[in-house]
Amino acid sequence: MKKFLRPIYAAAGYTTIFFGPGRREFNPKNPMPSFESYLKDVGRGVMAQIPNPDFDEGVIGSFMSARFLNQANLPGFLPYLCSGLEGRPCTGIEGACGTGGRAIATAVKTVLSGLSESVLVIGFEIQNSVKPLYGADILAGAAYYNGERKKGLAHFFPGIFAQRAGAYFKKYGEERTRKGMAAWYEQCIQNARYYPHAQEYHNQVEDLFSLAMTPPNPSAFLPYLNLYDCSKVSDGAAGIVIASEEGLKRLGLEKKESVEVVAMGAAESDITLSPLDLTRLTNSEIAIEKALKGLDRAQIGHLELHDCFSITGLLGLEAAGFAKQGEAADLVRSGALRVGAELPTNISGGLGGYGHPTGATGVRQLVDLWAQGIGRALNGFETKKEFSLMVSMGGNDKTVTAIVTRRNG
Amino acid sequence: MKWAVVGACGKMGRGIALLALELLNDQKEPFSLLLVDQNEEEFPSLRRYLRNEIERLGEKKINFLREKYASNPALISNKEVIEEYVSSSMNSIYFSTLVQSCAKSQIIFEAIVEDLEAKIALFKELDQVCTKETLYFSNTSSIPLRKMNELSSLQGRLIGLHFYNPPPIQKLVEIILPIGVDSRAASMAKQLCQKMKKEIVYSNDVPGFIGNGYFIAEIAFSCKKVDQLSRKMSLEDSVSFVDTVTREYLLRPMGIIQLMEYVGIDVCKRIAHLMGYEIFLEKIEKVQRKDYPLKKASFHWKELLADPQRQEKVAAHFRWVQTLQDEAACLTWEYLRHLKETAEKLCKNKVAHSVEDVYKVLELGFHHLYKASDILEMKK
Repeated sequence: MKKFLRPIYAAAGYTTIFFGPGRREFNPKNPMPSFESYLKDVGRGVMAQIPNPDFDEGVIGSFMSARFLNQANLPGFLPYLCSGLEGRPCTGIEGACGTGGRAIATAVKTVLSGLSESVLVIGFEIQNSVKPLYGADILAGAAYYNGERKKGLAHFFPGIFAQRAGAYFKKYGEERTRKGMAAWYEQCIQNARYYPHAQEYHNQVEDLFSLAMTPPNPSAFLPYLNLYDCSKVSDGAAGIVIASEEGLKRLGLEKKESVEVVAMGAAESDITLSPLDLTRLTNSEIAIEKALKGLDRAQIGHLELHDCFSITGLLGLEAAGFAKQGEAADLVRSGALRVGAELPTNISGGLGGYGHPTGATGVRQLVDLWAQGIGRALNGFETKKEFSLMVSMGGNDKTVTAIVTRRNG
Repeated sequence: MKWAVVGACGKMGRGIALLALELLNDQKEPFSLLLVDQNEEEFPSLRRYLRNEIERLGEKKINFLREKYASNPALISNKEVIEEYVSSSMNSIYFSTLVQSCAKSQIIFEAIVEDLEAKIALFKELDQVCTKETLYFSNTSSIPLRKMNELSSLQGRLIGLHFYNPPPIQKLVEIILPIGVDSRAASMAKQLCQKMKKEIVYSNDVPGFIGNGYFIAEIAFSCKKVDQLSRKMSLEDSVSFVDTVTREYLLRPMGIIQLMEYVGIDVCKRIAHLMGYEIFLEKIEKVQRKDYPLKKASFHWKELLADPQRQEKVAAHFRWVQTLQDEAACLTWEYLRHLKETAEKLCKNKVAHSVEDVYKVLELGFHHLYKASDILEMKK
């Protein structure tokens, strides 16, 4: 693993409620919380942990606010949610569903360069401002719209990953994979039940596995995937601080309240090209390999994968090298990914359980790595192992950022 | 292809217009749908209704529409596809107050007022401007089709297609085939209902058919009960009592009085008169109905409707009613016995082909959750 030129830390993370149809209080006929309220909430949540919020820079990530909210020029909202950023450089980042990971990477690079000692990173998204059917068109911008939207299904991105699921079923067996996906869903919801801000926090369904085994309905929805395979449309925000040691001091934060960001790998793939192998996330493999270079996977004690769909969670496990090709379903069903087992994964529910406001998810993943790393995970989980890994993915495995953290002490 | 709906601005007419529009949209031939009504001022409201409902339908069948418009490169997003569907639908609809505009229609749906003279006058006028190939489907809920065919000289091309309210949502359609029915019309009626995904019950051509055969009989029974009860309680209380018992203890979406009000007291009177019933609703229609305080039932119609354990809960409910032994319980059993007798009579008098058909109409058209005969059998 290539060492950074200087230590970089993540601290003071916060996630708002990830709001959507899974939440008890959700009613599409009622006015939804405004995006301003999410930004204020995340700003307050982060700032409440910082004695002296004197940041050098800010980074804000959102995928499609210009379409969902008719709002661009997002950097201007950083001084709005943190008055200390008035007059400071602020940057907007977009990388589809991998926006959060790229926002963190941008902040890390800024601090590494020495231009800044501390950066406030915010990711957010509002998607419930339009009906899901029309939101699907907006989210299709994460793919090559001109080349792919026309022939895509009504539910575009679920359709993309349904294709991957179909190819995977054919290669490795449908029943085996379907059971792995159902077990993945079950774990998502069970983990989310410990997190009051998670979209599936209120979900008390007893037999989650059977529910997730519901046969797909191609005429009404999709082939190969059912509703439980898909993360729900979400509104929400997440925030975290990226800082040098000096930056932490200036903010009034103790090092023991942070985790160290020790490695990063990023990879971009030609968006106009279809994947050569639908059963692999080859671009994710590249990014993860870069991040894990020199590190033994056995040293990873906590994993946060981008499970926009249950099949993506399984593919992510294989891309990260924790399961051999075709064996991810078995790994999930073995229980090895549960909190308290060998490799706790998506401890707050992941995208399937916590929710997926596209611009916020990557930041939420780092918040989870940080909280667990300093012993503050809401389910009490704290890995004994030194390192944790998150993978933030945008589009159909096009924009990937993998980040490794190390807990302090 | 040209179809028409006459009486399109009414509650039933606009629902039938929406069903017709959806069917026409789904086939490949270019079409026009003519909507005729005397109330021109209602046309904007009808247009808005159809536009909103077509948009909703488009969203529901987006997968089908994306395939339908696959060869149009300009329609890429779901929004564009649905907007095209809505605009091409609305561009195929025409509004008119003139019956003569129905000329060249292959199919005409009639949904005007439930009045024999008005319908005959309409059909005669239509027959003047349309060809002898035109088929007519009347939404009459009570007027015999044989009589209408004879008086309008439509020679069996007029069939009863009785939709339930509201037509786009209610699954049930009663088809009434008159003696001497044109086989094309009979076949077309069945085809249309199947394409609309309706459940068909064939009723014989007897005034009231099955639906009103039951409904009016129960109204008459209810008037008698109100009359009897009003000798010992106030009229307001007796109306409220009958209404609340029929809703809460018979597990229905509405009490019988509320249902009458929903259908329209005048409509009920007209239908009853046509069927040869003497019912006196003048007293009842002046009463301010309210909820009568009864012992609280554990189950209600709404929660039972989609309950997979419905049968057990219905049985438990009536076992509970049996324990009450009060006036409300007695009235409940009287209604159940009356309902069973009515079903049997409708069959005996050759209105329905079978008692099963009657119960199917009660289940699908009136949302009954059980067969009265089953409950009475259980009570024995």
